Amino acid sequence: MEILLSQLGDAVIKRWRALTAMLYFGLRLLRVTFNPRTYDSATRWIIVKQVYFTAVQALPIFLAYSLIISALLIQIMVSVARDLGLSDYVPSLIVGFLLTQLLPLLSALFIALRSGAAINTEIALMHVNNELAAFEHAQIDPMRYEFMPRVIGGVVSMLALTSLAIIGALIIAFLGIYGWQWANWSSYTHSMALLLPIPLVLGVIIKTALFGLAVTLIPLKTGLEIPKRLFLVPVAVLKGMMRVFFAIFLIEVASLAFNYI
Amino acid sequence: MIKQLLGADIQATALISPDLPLRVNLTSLENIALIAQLHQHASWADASQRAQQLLSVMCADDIALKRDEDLSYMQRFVVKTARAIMLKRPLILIDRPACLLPDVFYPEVLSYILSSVHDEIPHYTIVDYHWNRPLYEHTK
Amino acid sequence: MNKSMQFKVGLFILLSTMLVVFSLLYLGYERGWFEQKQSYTLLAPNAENITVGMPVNFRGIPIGQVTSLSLTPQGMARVMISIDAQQNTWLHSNSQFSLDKPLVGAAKIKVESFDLHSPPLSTTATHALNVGAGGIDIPALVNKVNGILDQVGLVSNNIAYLTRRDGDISHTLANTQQITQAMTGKYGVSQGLLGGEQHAQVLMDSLQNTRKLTHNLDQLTHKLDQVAFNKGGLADKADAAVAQISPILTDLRTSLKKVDELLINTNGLTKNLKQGTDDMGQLRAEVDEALNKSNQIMNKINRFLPAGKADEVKLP
Repeated sequence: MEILLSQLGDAVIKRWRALTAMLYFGLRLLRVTFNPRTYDSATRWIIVKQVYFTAVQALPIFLAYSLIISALLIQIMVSVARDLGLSDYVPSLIVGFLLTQLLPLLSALFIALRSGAAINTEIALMHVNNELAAFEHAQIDPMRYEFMPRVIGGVVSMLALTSLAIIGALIIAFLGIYGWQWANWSSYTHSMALLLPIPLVLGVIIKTALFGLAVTLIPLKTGLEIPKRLFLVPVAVLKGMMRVFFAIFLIEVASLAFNYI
Repeated sequence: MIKQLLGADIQATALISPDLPLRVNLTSLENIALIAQLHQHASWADASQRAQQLLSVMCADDIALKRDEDLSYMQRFVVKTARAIMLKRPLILIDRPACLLPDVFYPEVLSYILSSVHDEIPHYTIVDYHWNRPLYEHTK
Repeated sequence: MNKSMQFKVGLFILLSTMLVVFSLLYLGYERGWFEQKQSYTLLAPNAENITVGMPVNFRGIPIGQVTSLSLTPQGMARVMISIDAQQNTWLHSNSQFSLDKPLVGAAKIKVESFDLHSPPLSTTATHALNVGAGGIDIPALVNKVNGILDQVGLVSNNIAYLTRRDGDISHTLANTQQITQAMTGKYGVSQGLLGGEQHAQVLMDSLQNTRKLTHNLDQLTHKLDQVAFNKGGLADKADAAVAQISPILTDLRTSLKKVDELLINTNGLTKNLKQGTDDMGQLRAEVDEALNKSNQIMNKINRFLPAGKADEVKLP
């Protein structure tokens, strides 16, 4: 019993420490981010590279994937609602389910699987390979040169990709509901606009930014946490991805609770 | 290891060491130019031009766009030297050249490379195992 | 550094920022940020089911929304609404405002303007808002619907009883067959003559009644059909309609009981008919017609009351 209790205590303390370390790391990162002196030519270039690899390179496949999913779901919603005689509620269903919940979540998963995993591996390898020590010797702050640009890139890409997916889904929804009858466009946009009050839009933006933060910050920190052993790199990736997964769902649940309770 | 020996003087020393690898996802040129960009707030154009110049002096123009894993030991050493020069510290310390240049007769290569950048290097020291001392005597 | 990568990223950031900013501005435009608004004041006995932001619709098209709710010194609810400037041409001095609270979905304020040539609605005066009987209490409604569904169950049981094998209807039919056979048979008309004139008269009256009754039933089921089982089912209709259905169904049940009795009567009479009546041809036609009609109604009732499923009508 005593052993069990001490194990439990140990587990809780470990997780608590990991969480506080993560928050502290995030805070330091924010301080670097909001320091205007940070943005010299090298840092800007790294940010550009991160945005390129996270968003631009992934753009075609991401758009294809989000548009197909949106089109399918909207088609299902429209036809089911028509069968049940509830066509009037399709727009609010699309807004409440697809636009504000599913698409941000899907893009978070997309970026987590694509870039989050890559960042986690890269940072872990960099850490094991002593490259960070070389930076330290050259008095280059890796926070500024390596970590912050990745997080900025992640958040910017997340926001950009999610908004593109949402705008795409809005157009698809119009086609799903009205077909190619562009005469209905103004009434459609009007009814959609009424379903999207500013607090909701702001909420989605904040949630998306938090997703972007979670899918980059957590892999970064987790990659740095392992001892300098090459065989522990997969462990770091595994741990980081699990944490990202929990964080994404925590944010999603929190946003749902905030919206509907 | 060498860091502990140097203690506080590490800030005045630019190390060329097997323990301080190049950043693998940057090209040689970027690795060198980065220092100038971050420390001297140089623009990319200036920094890369300076880096390219250093590489040319050491007869290694062609490696500018190569990454760490595509470099030979000697090329890697050249890049590390250029990086150390960019730091503009009073002392350059070459840590265990036997590990940095295992496939050449390094005392000769070292003296050749260091003499080619003689203008850029204020002062340098080589730290090596004592059993390698005869090698250096041989070159002199 | 890679110029093309920089260019692509720059293009991407620029385009997506432009798209997002444009979308947000468009959203603002559609939400009426840049529009002139006209405010009107409505008075209602209470503000139940009214919320700030609730749409104001004219003929199903949103033209404005509720901006604030407050109390007047007299204890009435003051509902401020703002109407888009381009849309207030639809508001006239005789416009009527009412709260529209559907069974499912969000409530809205409905404006009705009957005379589009009357002077425009005053922005300073207050106008009455008809809140109706208040919102619909769904649990209470479900209770009522359940009661009705029980009755429907009883009715369908009755129908099943009437149409059962060896039931009165089948007897009647069997008897009719016997009679018609008998008429075409050897003893044909003479058998008919054996029955008294009185018997025949009673039978004719009965059949006449049946016909009337079945006619009534027909109308009734038609009505029932319309009221209760129109598109979307019971739930489609509001409280009032549901209240109407209840007596109709009770009616239907008593009517069906009557049919039952009548058929038993007819049964007895047709048995007697074997002894004969005056005008067999006419009788046969009457019987046929009456039974046909009864059958039609039964079919109809059966159609919209699938046996055993009556209590599964679901609210969406």
